Amino acid sequence: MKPSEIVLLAGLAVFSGVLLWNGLDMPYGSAQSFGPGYIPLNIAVVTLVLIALLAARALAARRSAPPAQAIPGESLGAVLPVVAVIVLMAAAIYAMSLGSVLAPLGVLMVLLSWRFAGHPPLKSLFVSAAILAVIYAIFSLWLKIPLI
Amino acid sequence: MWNELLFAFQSVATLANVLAMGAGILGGVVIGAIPGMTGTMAVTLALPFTFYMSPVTSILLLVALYKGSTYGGSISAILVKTPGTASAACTVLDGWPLAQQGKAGKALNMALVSSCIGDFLSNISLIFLAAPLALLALRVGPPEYFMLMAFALTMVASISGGSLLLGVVSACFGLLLATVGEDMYGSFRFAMTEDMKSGLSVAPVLIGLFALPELLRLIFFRDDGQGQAMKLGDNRLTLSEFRGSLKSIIRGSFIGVVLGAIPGIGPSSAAFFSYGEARRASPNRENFGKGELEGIAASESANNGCCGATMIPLLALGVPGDVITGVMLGAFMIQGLTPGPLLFQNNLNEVYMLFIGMMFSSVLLFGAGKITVRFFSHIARIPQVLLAPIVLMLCIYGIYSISSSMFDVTVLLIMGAVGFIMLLLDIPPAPFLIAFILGPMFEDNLRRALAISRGDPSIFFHSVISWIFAGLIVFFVGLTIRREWQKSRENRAARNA
Repeated sequence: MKPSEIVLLAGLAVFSGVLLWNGLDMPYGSAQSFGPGYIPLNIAVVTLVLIALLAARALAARRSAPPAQAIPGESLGAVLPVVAVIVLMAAAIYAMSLGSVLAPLGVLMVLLSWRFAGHPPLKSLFVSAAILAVIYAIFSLWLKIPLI
Repeated sequence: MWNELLFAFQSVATLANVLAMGAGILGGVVIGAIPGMTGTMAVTLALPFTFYMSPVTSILLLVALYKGSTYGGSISAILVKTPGTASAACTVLDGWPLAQQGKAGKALNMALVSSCIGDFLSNISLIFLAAPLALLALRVGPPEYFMLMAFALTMVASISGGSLLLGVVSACFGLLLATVGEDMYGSFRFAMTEDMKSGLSVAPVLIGLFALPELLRLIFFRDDGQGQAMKLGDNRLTLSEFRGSLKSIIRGSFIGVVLGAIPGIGPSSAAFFSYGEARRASPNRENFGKGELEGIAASESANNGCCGATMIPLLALGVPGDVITGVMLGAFMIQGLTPGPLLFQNNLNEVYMLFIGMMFSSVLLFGAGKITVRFFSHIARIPQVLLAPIVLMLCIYGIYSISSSMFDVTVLLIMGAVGFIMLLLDIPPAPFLIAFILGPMFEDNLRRALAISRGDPSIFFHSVISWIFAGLIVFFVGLTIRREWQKSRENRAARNA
């Protein structure tokens, strides 16, 4: 099993577990029909069973298969930039809630263009400014949605 | 009926609608022609703009984007040997050899003509099949509807790529997320914050799952080795060449209509199936794969033949046939329209307008393709990485502009991260999307049916329609399990060898 697969399935298992736990507090059903807890509870159980099946299948495959080669794109060095971009986006979204919508996204766009897409700093600044101007024109001037 | 059609024609022929369709076709062709940018991304990115349009204009824009991008995929397939969209993968087989022979313009013209004919026939099938199907659907009750939803989910989970198990996990995840918020009887579920009480909005989930992962892919897995675009060369498509491919175009359109109308199959499979049939039936079968115009005609008529047909289950039954129609279902709901049999009862004018607009967009596709053909080699050369910041901005601003909600933007980011991991692991996102959108209807019909029968599950097997759907579910699950078993046996044999 690839590390990213483990992360996704573990996350999904935790998510299903939380919904299952919370679903236990909801009425499962009455004499006539099922209540609001019916679907979440059953689907959460099915999801957990399927995740367990996938994990068991991966374990069985590992036992029968020869030792796996390192998978490209699964090393820490390859994952870090992706995590960095997601953290940067999260930071920009948090900064948006502090006041300005335009400024944090502008900074994010310059950083993405410069550090990750490999454009020279000046080109990044120019491209980002041009895109921001177009977006400002579309949303703020044409559609009248206030974006600061 | 004729009065209604005339009224619908007058209503469609407004500047706003024509502009929306023209922009959609042109935008779709450009986006479809850029390798790495998909039709799904084009439709998803346009979703926030539709909030500010009338229902019909917004749906026409999305349909035009869908059609344009399906055709646009063939441009880069022919000129740079890289299909712009998955459905154009088959076009590479003959398009690229033709471009190498200096006949790229001829190949592009054949792709355009076959796409437009496939699209047009697909629209006609939609007009003739959707209404009777909707009338039939009006007579069925919650148990049959529940079985239909279960069938659609099974089909999408089993056919949309990856393994069946991963497809079902993906669908379960979608169903679970759909339970967040208020249910049909007013109970709040998993609503930890005020924002969550109304459930997760469709737009941030869709854009997060389909556009953001593509953006991350553009940044981290960019294809710098994108080939040089071929020159157009011999541009004219002669009447005899067209006549020689007409059988394949008609057959391909028919295959596209039939496979497009079945939820979960989609244009890629239709294109390959049509190509195979054309090669089997053609007197020039030895030339297939070496630059045969008939091969392009077969694949392009089939993939565009799916465009209107995928709307049949959507409009008539409220069941999206693939990811793009799933996004469109979201757009319908955003506009206060509910696809399904009631749409034909409550919004007949809008339905007629949509039909006429779709026919009109086929003509626009032909015009736009003819006019822009000389710019195609430039479009196919647009570097993917330049688009990443633009896509990101459109995603975030688009979502923020809908309701100025930071919660929606956060949902977008979380779904983007989840979608990227799913992309890396080849977990199909289509079952998730369809389950997320159909989840409330699935639950609604299940609970209604059980309320009618006072909790007796045998209600799901009282009618012939329910039995048909149950049989189809068993058939497709059996087929998928058999396919998986064969695949694992082949893998084992390969390992032992």
